[in-house]
This record gives sequence, C-alpha cells and structure tokens, in this order.
Amino acid sequence: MPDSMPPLLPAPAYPPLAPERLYRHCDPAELNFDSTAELEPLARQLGQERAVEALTFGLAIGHPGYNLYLMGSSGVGKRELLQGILAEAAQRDHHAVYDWCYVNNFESPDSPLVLQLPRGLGCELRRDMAQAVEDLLATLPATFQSDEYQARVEELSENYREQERAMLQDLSERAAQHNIAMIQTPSGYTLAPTREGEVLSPQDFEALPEAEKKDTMALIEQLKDELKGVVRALPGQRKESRERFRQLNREFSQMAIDPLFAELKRKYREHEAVAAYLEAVHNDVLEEAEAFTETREESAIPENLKDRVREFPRYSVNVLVDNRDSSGAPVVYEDNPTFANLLGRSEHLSQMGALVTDFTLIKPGALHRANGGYLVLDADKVLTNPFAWTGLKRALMARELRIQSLDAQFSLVATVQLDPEPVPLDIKVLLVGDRNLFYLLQEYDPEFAALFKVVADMAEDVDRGPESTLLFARMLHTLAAENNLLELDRSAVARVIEHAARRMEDSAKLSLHRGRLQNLLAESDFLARRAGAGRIAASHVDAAIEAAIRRLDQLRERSQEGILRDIMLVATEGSVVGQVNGLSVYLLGDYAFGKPTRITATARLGAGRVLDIEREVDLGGKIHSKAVMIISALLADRYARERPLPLSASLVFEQSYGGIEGDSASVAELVALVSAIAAIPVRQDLAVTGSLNQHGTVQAIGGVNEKIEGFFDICRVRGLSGSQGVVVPRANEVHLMLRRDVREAVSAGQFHIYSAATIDQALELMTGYSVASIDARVSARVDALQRLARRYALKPQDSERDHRE
Amino acid sequence: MRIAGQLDCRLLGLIVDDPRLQRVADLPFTTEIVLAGGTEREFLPQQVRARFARISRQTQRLLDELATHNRVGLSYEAVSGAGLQAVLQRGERLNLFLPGRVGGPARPAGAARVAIPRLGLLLGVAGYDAAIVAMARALVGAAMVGAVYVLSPRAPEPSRLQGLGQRGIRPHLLHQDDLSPAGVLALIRRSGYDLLILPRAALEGISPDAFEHALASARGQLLVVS
Repeated sequence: MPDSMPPLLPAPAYPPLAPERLYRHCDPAELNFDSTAELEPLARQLGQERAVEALTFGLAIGHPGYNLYLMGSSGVGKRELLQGILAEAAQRDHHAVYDWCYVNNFESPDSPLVLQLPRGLGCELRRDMAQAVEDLLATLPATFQSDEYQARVEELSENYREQERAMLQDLSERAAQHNIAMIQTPSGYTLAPTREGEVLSPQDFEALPEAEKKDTMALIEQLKDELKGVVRALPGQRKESRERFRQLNREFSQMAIDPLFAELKRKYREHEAVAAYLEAVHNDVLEEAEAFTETREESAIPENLKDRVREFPRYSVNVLVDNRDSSGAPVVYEDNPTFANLLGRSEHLSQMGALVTDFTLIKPGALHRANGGYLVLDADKVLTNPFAWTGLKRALMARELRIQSLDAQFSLVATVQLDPEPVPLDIKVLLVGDRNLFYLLQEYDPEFAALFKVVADMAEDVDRGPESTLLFARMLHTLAAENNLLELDRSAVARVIEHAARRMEDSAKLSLHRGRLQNLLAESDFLARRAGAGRIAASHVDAAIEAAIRRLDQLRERSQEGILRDIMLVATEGSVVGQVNGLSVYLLGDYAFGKPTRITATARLGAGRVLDIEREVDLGGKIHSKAVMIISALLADRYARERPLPLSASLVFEQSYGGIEGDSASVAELVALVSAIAAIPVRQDLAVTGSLNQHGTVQAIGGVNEKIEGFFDICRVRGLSGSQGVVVPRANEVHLMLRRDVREAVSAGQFHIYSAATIDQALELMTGYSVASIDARVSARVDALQRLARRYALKPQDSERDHRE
Repeated sequence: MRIAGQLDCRLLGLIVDDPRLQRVADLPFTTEIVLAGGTEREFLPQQVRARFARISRQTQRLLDELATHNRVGLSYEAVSGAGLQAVLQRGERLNLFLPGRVGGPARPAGAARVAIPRLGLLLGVAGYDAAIVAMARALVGAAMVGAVYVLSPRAPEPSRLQGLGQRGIRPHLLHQDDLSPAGVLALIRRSGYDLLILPRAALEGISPDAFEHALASARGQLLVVS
C-alpha cells in the first residue's frame, strides 16, 4: 500500500434509534375492558374480507367449473373459516338434495341401475321392497298349495298322462288284435308275436307257416314304425305340458303378485324411474315365483320370514346416500381422500374361494355423500393419494360419478366387475391448501384452472390500529370460548397483541395465524391454571412464550456457545481491515434465531472481478450470487465509471459450511470489500445487515429482530462495552419489535441500534470515517492499481522494477 | 327307507325277473324301441340278462346304502313273473311299496321340503282302516307329511282319525264313493298324492296289466297294505 494515501476523516455522529422506536407497545389502559369475558364473540374471522367475499361468490355461482381453492399458510384458520361459511350456505342453499339408491338391473345384473329419489324416500323404498318380499313369501306358497291350484295341476297332469297313455294303449290294443304284444322293457318297448296271450318261443315261431311268419314280421315292422312315431311325439307333448304348467303357474302367481305390486306402483307413480323399476321387479317376480314357494315348517312364524327376505337380495334396495335426517345441503369433510373414499367402490365377498360382488355391495364415496352440496378436501392429501386427483377431476369434468375399481383398470386379467350406472353429480368442491401448491397447479395442470375457477386467499395479517385491536381482542375471546380456555385480562390481551406484531415482524401489523394464537392461549391457560389464576395475565403469556422458545432453543444455544468459546470466530470489539460482522437468521419451522457471522474480503491487482467464494463452491444460492453481482456493479459504478477497475476481490462467509442464500448481507459485503481495497479498518463492535441495490440504496431485509438479538446475546454474555450495536436498514424500522432485555440495554445506553438508508451512511457507521475520505482513499488505491496494471501490461520486467522502486 | 324306519319295519326287496322279456329277446327279429329319442336297437338275450343283472346290482347297492343309513333291515328275493303280477302274488301277505315311475309330467310348483307333501289315505274297506291310519299317524309324527287327505265313501268317525292332527296338520276329508276296480284304478292313475296308502282288498278284481298301466301313469307312490 503506498504511503501517500489520503487521510481518513471522522464521520459525523449518527444518533441511534430511541428505545420507543424499537417496540410498539399496546397500552392495556387503552383497552376499554377488564377481561375478554366482557366482549362479544366475533361472528366472522378477523381480516378475511377478501377470502369471505371470494367464498361467498364461489359458493353462490352455479356455472360449472366454479369450484374453489382456499389458500393460506398452514394454521391460518382455513378450516374454521369454511365451517362457518359453509354452515350458512348449506342452510341457504335451495338446490334439491336427493337420496341415491342402486337397484338390480334384471336385464344386465352387472350394470346396476341408479334411482334418484326425494330426500327420505330411499329408505322407504327399501322398506317397502323388503315388505313386498316378505308378503310374497307369505302368500305365494299358500297360493300354490291351494286346492284350486292343485286341482288345476292335477287336471293338466291327468290330461297329458291320459294322452300319452292313450297313444300307447291304442297301439298296444291294435297290436294285440293281431296277436302282437307290446311289452315294456327297462328302456322302452318291444313287439313280439303271441299265441293265447303268451309270447311265442323261437321254435314256435319257426314252426309257423312261411306266409304267416312273413305277415307277422311285416306287421311287427309296421307297428314298430308307429311305435317310433308315438315315442318321438312324447317329448313334444311333454314340452307342451311344461309350457301349460308354466302358464298355469303364471296365472296363479299373478293372482297373488299383481295386487301387491299395484299398491306399490300407485304409491310411487310420481317417480318415473321407480315406477319403471317396480315394473321390472313385477315381471321378474312373475318369472321367479317358484323361488318363493318353498315352504318350511317354520315359515309360519313371521320372524323367520324376515330372515328369508335375505335370500332374495336381487329385490333389495341399496340406499347409497340417505339424506332423510339432514336439513339443507350436505357439507362433507373428507379427511382421507383416497380414490375409493372419494369415488366409492364395489366390495367383494369371498364365496367358496371366489370373489363375488353385486349391487348390494356398492359403497358410496365422499362425492356421493356430498352430492347436491359441498365437499371439502385437503389439496395436499388429494394429490398424494394415488389416482385420487385424476378421479376427482374426471368426475367433475363429466359431472357424473362412475364407480370403477382400480384393479379392473390395471389388472392383466379381465375379471367380471360391476359397471353401475353413473350418478349425476351436482357439487361444489372446496380444496384447501397452501399458496405454493395453488400456483404449481395453475402452472402445470390445465384441468385445474378449468375446474377451480375461484380462489379465496386468506390474509395472514391485519393492519394494527384501535379498531383492529378491539376486534383482535374479541377474536381472542372467541378462541378462548371455543377451546374452553380461561379468559384474558387486558394486560394479557395487550401482550398477545404485541406478540402477534412480533410474529409478523411488523409493529404495524397483527398476525392472524389462528393456529399459533390458539397454541399461545392454550399454553398460557395451562400456566395460569397451574398458578391457580382465574384469568390469563400478561405474565402467563410471557411465560408461555419463553417456554416455547426454550423448548426449541437448544440449537441456538449451541451455536452461541461455539462463538463464546471462540470456536466460531466473531469479534465484538476493536477494528479490522477487510472483516465485518454480518448477521444471518436460521429458520427452524416455526422458530427463528439470529447469529453473527464473520464476513471477510481481500483485494489485489487483478482483472476486475469480485469472486464470491460461496458461489464458486456451490454453497451460494442464486439470490446471494445476484447480490454479489450487484455489489460488483455498485463498486465499479462508484469507483471506476470511466476507467477500468484493475482489482480482483474475494468474499467469503468465514466458517460457514452450509448453504448461503439471500441478499441481506450485501451491505456487510460491500463494507468488507471497500475496507479491503483501501485498507480501512471496520468496527468490530458493530454488526450490520441490509440489502443493496446498484445505486447504493439500503433495502429492507427479513428477520431484523432475530438478527439484532443474535448479536446482542453474544455481546451481553461477553459484557456490553457500551459502544456495541447493530446497523439495520431504515426501511426495517417499522419491523422492529425487540425483546425487553435489548430495549432495556438500549435505554441504559449499553447497546445501540442505528438505521441506514444508503451505503454511504452504512460505511460511515461501520468505519467511523467520513464517506468522502473513504471514497478518496479508495480512488487513490484504484489509481495505484491502475498504474501497476498498465506497467505490467507493457513491460512486465519494467513493471516489476518500477514496482520495487 | 325313511317310511320303513318310521314304521319300524323290515324291508324285502322283490327283484322281478319277467321271463317274457327273455322269451322276446330269444326271438331272432325282436328289437327295442327306446323311449329316449324313439330309436331302435338290438334286443338280444345276453343284453337283457346283462342289463337286468346290472340294474339289479346297482339298485341293490343303492338300497343297501339307504338301509344302512336309515338302520332298516333289508333282504332280497328274486321273483319270476310278469311284472306286478309276480309282485302281487309274492306279496300277498306283505305291505307293498311301489315307487313312482320316472318320466311323468312336470311337477307343479309348491313342492314343500317335507318327504311326503300330500299323503292320501283310502279308507272304508273293512279291516284295513286302523292299520292305514296307524301308518299315517307314524309318518305324521315323524314330521314327514305336509298334508293329509282322507278318502272315504263315508265320513269316518273322528276317533278313528286320532293322531293325524299333529304338528298343525288338519286332515282333509274327501268323499270317495267309487271303490270299484275302475274307480280305484282312476284314483291311482290320477292321484295327486305323493304317497297313497290303500288296502290290498281295493285291488281285488284289478288285472295286473291294468294295475301296471295305472301305476305307469301314477305321479306318486303307493303303499298297499295287506
């Protein structure tokens, strides 16, 4: 470094932020109640007007494709919002809601028929059909045992027997007239010549005159032909006899069956599909009447008839969805949306080693149960259950529910399966999920956009003001009442409000994360009850917050211990060239903590490149790499606008072995670079955080409270020197909601928080030198490097000599 | 077999060898017209003997199994003669059970699951009523009967029918005044009873052939009480 460098001049004094700017209190005195018990509950969730408006619209619009996606972070209260709105919508809904039944299709039993019935009529039809079968079991046997029937049967039998007998008898008598006997054998008949009633022996026949023998043989042949004709006519007669018996049975069956079905048809005459079904049943019963006529000794006992009804499942009614006890539209929450749970299934029974099924084994899915109403599904669960998402979309697109088994679709062997008639679908589906999932679906699934046209976006926070503060208090009362918790006194309400602002990292906002609030109230309630308190006070809330932190705090303690034991090197006093205390935040689910990290820079003659070591070894994320490029551009713009910048610099997060992402360290990195270029020492009793743009404006970052507290904790343990502090972006002042101990240290002048809006301010704060003197020194250094660069470019050996000189 | 078991009777199986058939088979030109299909086939003596032996063997084997199962004493006797005539002669002092013939008209609906859905009793012939009613009583008591029909020229005294009204059965009384041979033949032929119990005396004057013919047309079974 040349000796003739411009001097560094002191920077102007920067006043730190006053303690009151570090935390926005909620004054309990401004709350006009003693406890939340005096407040009215909230009818609607606070701050969700946008989502409510979208839900109301989506639920009301009747066009197809207007299903809904309700999005918000986990725990914000999506389910609770839906429950209230859906309960109202279901009562208001004037859509007709039906009972749905499956019945046997007598022509094609593999394709059961669906019946749509007014609410409550499904069970009634099932009852009526069971009663009809029971009545048939009682009346048909008696019909076929009646004397009238038996007499008709006997008459028919006698007629046909007589016809057969007469045919054979006639032939036998004619044969006998010619001394030919027609003798019955085990399998039929034979013809033989006789004398005086006795069959001729072979010798007697041989002894007959030739002519007589010849005539006898001819006659026997003729009689044989006639006998064959008679025997061959017998099956035809028997077939005719069987047909006459069938007609007789049908006639008597109708006498018993017709009145019963006439009554049923009259009852259901206004329901066309049911009437058609009853007609089919009527015809089938007439065909199968004999099945009802098997009497048993015990069949006179009515109870056993009810048991026997089960022998006739073909006439039963499978009530798939029974809405008789519900009022309004159905609202179904399906928590396990598998393919079968959503779309229904047909079950199987094992019978003698085979799996069999019929329409009575069809089971409904959630879509069936919610038909005519609303179905709420967790989007993540639907998408992660195999085929559930495609099945749901198919049903919504087709607007019908078709029950198909997955094994039928994917089996290599085509076994017999049911193919039930599809159920028409009229439903609103509400998917509940997070934003990322919604945007992914929008981007990659065109069917999603066509089917879920309404998105309801829940707010995560609400502006903090007097009105919202009171509404927030009412919300706390509502949560306490819903969860059987103690009411809160106003100090507790104030503390919870402050904590809600802290959760939002914004003193001007209140977090609406219902899940976290419920947890805080529940834990505060627990501590209050354990202390024997009748109300939750601020002390209980504080204790609950601290206990929750402590449960998760081990990692932070261990990392802090590493710093305090100088295993992880972080300086908190003195000044060093090319070294800055940066600040990182670690996110562990619902818990975050900050930690100081040493950032170092080196600079030398080179080609004008700022080397981001993190990126070189793939430990730097894209945003961090972008930030380093911005720093490079800013550096060049500030110090080499009209000349080359002949230096190479490198930046690194020391002792960092995991990934680095984000741009919140870019102020720190630029300070380190400037320090390294011009050998300007940087204060180690300060840490800095902030993002930079190309024009040197310091931009807001996230986790500002945790970062400040992370550095404070190290300084506090080592002993506050009174000069230590943190520089934060001015744009982050509104986000400050620091811990009590930090505020107390600030009030005591032991710790300081500064805000900077520009890189100039940050440089002055971090070095203690004026930015003008810093810039002059950097420029001088750049000039010197340029001279060196030119020398090395023309004559390397001369450049070396000049350099030595 | 079940009836014999209920009546605690032994059974004698009469195997009838009709010599007429053998004589017909001896004739060189005789053939058989088979009922199944009306086809004509040879009717040879050795076939007749073999067929008779086979049928006898199979029938005896089946009957032996049934007898064992029902614990009924069973023996066999071969009789020679023309069908029923030989049976009637040999069984002059025996109760004869004549099974129904195969190949009758279609059975009507209403068949119950009892062994004898409709039991018919022909009363009114002197000396037989008590035995017939006793048999019927035993069958009813064994839950083998669905309904009882009493056929008689005169209404019998109720005391004579004692025991028939068990298990919810109410005997039906029907008037049967024609006990002539023709009337009995018609009753046998037209009988709608699954089992008809009638006295041996009712068959007097009926030729074996006529009885054979009537039996061939009978739907149910006969039990002739001697």
